[in-house]
Amino acid sequence: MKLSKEQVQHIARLARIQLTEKEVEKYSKELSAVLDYIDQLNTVDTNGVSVTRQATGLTNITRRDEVAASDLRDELLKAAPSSDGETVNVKAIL
Amino acid sequence: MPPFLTINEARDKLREKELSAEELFAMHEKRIDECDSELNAFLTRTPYEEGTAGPLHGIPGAIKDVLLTRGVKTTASSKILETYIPPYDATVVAKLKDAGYSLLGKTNCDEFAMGASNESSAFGPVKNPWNTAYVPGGSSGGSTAAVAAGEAMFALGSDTGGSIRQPAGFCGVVGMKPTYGRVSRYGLIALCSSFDTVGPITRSVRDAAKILEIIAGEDQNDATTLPAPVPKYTQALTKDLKGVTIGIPKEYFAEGMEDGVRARVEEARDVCRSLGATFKEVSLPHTQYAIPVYYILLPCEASTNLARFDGIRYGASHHDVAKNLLEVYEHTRGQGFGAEVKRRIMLGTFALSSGYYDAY
Repeated sequence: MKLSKEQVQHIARLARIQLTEKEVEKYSKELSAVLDYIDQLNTVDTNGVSVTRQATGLTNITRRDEVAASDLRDELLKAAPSSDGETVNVKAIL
Repeated sequence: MPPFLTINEARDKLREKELSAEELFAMHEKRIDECDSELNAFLTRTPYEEGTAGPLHGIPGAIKDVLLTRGVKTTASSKILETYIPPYDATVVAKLKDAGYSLLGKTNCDEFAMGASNESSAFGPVKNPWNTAYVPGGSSGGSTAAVAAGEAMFALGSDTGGSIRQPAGFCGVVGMKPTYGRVSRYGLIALCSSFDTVGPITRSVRDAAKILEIIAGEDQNDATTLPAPVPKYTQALTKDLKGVTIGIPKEYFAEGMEDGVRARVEEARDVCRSLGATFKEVSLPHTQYAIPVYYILLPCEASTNLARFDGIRYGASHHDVAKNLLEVYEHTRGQGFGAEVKRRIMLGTFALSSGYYDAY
């Protein structure tokens, strides 16, 4: 399967990654090659093969809905690239 | 004194006061000074801190840089987390602390654990200590190189599709990928949550059993951990293997397998046989499709897991050049992620996107 440059640009946009013109070209080739490789799966006969959705067999793991203290406010704010010490700064959406 | 002691040997020497915990730590620091400008196994080094009393008291270890360490920079070998200092410890790190270990530093790896040669690290490749013209394997290549070179007594790695086992093989150390659910991944920077595991890298099987005993177990903060009790793995090492049947999938002896590798596997089989184990050939007929399946599942999960690196809450950000929020995301991720990470995120985004989801 061949991915066009326009498709790569569309995927990059969905993934929120800015690409240079050169990268678009590179990934158009590389992703197409990987998709060709994956295509071999279409030849596998999976009739009678049971579906594996997980391996542990655990179901409905829940924990008690109890309030616990988390004293990380300052550290979490400090980890943000842009913060005034009280809030995390975010650019305008529009 | 050579730095190649096992944990058991070191514990004996500490107990008999042949050396102090601080001296043992300094010995490893010296080894890092000597070797690491060439090996590049460590990304961050930490000063000596005395550990609490416990089964790992005074034992110096290293942690792969995808596991969070409170107050110690954790980068996942990526520019996007170049300055990130986590506010909490991963469960496995907290357990090692409770057991009394001393942290030597954080080890290099492939960026976000995506790779098998350690060449995708944003901070330079790691070299194989046995021959620096060779790669150490990956993605836990810094951890296995550090243990092989005597820079650390043990290390933690993570394994999603071979990232402990393969570099341990390349570096000639013991690497153990635990059963999924055995060890908590809380505080592991997630790559592919359906496969991610955390495990020990050591210089002896006994040491691996000891570390696993400490880090394994159910964790409220990782709902996939098994509620089963943790056996004393070290005690099981003294038993024979009578009554144990070991399956060998015939598909694993594939074309292209090196003679030396085949010979070592056969030697290991003979050792198990001499201890009473029996072997049985089994067939896993879909083995040849494992990699193409992995090439779909891993990128899909990785693209979702790595969506959190948005330049808002932590890590690098490109606020200044951006006109709006969308541009913050796009600039931050475009400049922060390396080539392999971008490739996998885009592949996953594509496979999950409308119109293609059903195809895969």
